Amino acid sequence: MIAYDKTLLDNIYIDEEANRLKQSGFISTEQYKLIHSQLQKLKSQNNLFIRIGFFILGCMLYSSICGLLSLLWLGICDSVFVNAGDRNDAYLFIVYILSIIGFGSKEYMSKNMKYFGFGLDDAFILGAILALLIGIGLTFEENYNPNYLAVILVMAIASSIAYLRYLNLSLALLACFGITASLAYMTFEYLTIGKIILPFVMLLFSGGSYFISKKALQNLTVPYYYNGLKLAKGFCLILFYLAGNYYVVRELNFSLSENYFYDDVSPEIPFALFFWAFTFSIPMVYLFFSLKNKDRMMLWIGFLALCFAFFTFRMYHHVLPPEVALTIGGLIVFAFTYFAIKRTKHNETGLTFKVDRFTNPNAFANVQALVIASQFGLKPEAKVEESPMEFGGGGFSGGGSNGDF
Amino acid sequence: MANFEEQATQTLFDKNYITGEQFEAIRAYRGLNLFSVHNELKFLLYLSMLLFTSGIGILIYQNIDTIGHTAILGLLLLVTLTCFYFCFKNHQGFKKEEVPFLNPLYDYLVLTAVILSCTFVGYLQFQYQTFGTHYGLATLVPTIISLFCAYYFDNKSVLSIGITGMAAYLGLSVDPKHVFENEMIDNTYLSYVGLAFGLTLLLWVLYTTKINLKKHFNLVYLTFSLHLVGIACMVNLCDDYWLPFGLVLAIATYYFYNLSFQIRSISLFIFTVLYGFIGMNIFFVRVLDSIHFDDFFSIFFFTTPFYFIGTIIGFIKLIKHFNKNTSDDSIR
Repeated sequence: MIAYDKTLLDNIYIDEEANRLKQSGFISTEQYKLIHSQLQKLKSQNNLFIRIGFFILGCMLYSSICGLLSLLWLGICDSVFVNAGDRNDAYLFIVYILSIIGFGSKEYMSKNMKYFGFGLDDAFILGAILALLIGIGLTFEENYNPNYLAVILVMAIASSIAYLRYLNLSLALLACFGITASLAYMTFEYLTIGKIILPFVMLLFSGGSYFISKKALQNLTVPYYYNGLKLAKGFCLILFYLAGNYYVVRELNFSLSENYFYDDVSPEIPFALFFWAFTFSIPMVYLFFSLKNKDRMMLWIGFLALCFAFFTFRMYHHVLPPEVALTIGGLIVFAFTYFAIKRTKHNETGLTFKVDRFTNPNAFANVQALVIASQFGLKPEAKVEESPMEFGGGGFSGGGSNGDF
Repeated sequence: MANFEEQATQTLFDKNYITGEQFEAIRAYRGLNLFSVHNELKFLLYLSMLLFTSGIGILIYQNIDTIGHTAILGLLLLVTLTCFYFCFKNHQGFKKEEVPFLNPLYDYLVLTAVILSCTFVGYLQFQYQTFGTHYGLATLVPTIISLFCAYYFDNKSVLSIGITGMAAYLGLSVDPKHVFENEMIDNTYLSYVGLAFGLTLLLWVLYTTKINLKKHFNLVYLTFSLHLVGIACMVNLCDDYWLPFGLVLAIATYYFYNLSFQIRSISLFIFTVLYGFIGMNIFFVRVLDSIHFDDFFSIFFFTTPFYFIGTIIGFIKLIKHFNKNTSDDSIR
């Protein structure tokens, strides 16, 4: 099933481990360099920026090839086919050809050029899937009414198969979206009570898939699908929370109803109490189990879910003005963190504030500098009127505060 | 669940890439089963700082008429001074090399103090016109405070505030938001200023490297410098006198390209190549435009796939070159 050479692929994981050991200081740089040069492995880009750069270049290459071929084909079609129907079929034909070219190049890149996650190959496989979806959409179109179900079903199937063969994480994500979207669309479109039970279907589906992927992770013997399954697990956790979140349910329910076009306020939903309880209890459950099972991804998702829960609450109940909430929230978070650091500072095992040698302690340092610069950077005086904070003088002069004080 | 990391370590050991001692050490460390929340807690600290300072900023902004200026100013000054007091008390003092706080908490305290003092000065200027019509001075004072703190307390975030302050004094907004929205430079005069400022920062880096002053700040300075020079040149490439700026950009790209090898910075390398590439493309278009290439447009269209293949090969070569020249073997 996997397109790559197995030994070369295995060596990628071994090289990753060696790099981790080097980062955490268990082996020296020289030793790592020796390992790195001796292991034969697939070519992949470890740096995200470079990979994105190659991805963009790959997209340009693929689209320029597409443009060139379609122009040629258009010219041929216009001169050969006289009948308009024939011509349309011929136009459609080229879309599928382009998709096949994309799949073919990806296959060639993984087999012969030994690219794995290089950026270029990501661009070609994603481009190929996109071309396929466009082709499907045009084929099943009736009276200018595209058949969405066919498109998302094909997306789910094609990207799942492509992931199983090529192991690119972007494909796994696409597959997750495709499967979820097909299920949601089918429930909503083909069941009469679909709109009402949609959140519950999603809850069941995501909960079920979470445990399935967890089970699959436990039974895994080779590391190839490890990352994909982890991604699926995270995806299920997020989906599970969103499916039961009060804000999402209420607004989605409203936007799927007819009143949406009359600029109404969204009406209260049935089982409101259940959804409110869900909104606040699930983040807590996530946080608790993540700390218990030492699951970092779940911890982050739980934290984000908690933030979203507060957002949901503030959306419908205006208890405090935002600035007071910000200030008090800042103080509370600070106090909490301060005590948490004090508590966990001296733990030698388990949960601890000590730096783990395997996680990078400076992961946030550069991001922080960037955020600070964009949030609090000084702006030239000429632009003062625009900025709402800091030097923003614009509104100050309002209630007679300008005169003699 | 099979632990794949341990499996990989085992393979490394089996293939004799790591010694038995190392293997045992790794096994023992993994056996501790650590779950470090260091990054998470630090992130929370940072978040609380952001929330608090933003909240205070808006509070002051809104309640100006009710509380009274002196009260607000006094409170601000008090909080700022308290922050500064704790920072000074817990720091070892100025040194030329890197001296971090023993407790990461104080890094955030310095940041809070600097941001609050910026607010303080800005408020003072707005309300009482302390600096009169010398608006530049109102920018310069916080800048000097933040630069001093950055060097004294060894804080990169504060340094970036200081640099944006300097740029603001010259009339540029160099914070990332404006750079991305392409609002940094909207007239030719400012682009010249930006270019000059970028080059000045570069000179400053060269000087500090020579006297060994806070060498770990170099990356911050160089990043600002590169973006300023790159964007200023690109703005001018689209303008009337494009030819000399193409030349300047080419020289700057070449220089930064070599510099990124020396300081082994992958981000600098990537952005240099990016600016070089975009600049080159604009340059080509200008050249084609000036020799009235429109008539051969269809031929031009047919060459694009080959052009992209060529650039991809070029990029792969560049990265290989980078890998070879930096002592660290691979880019991570």
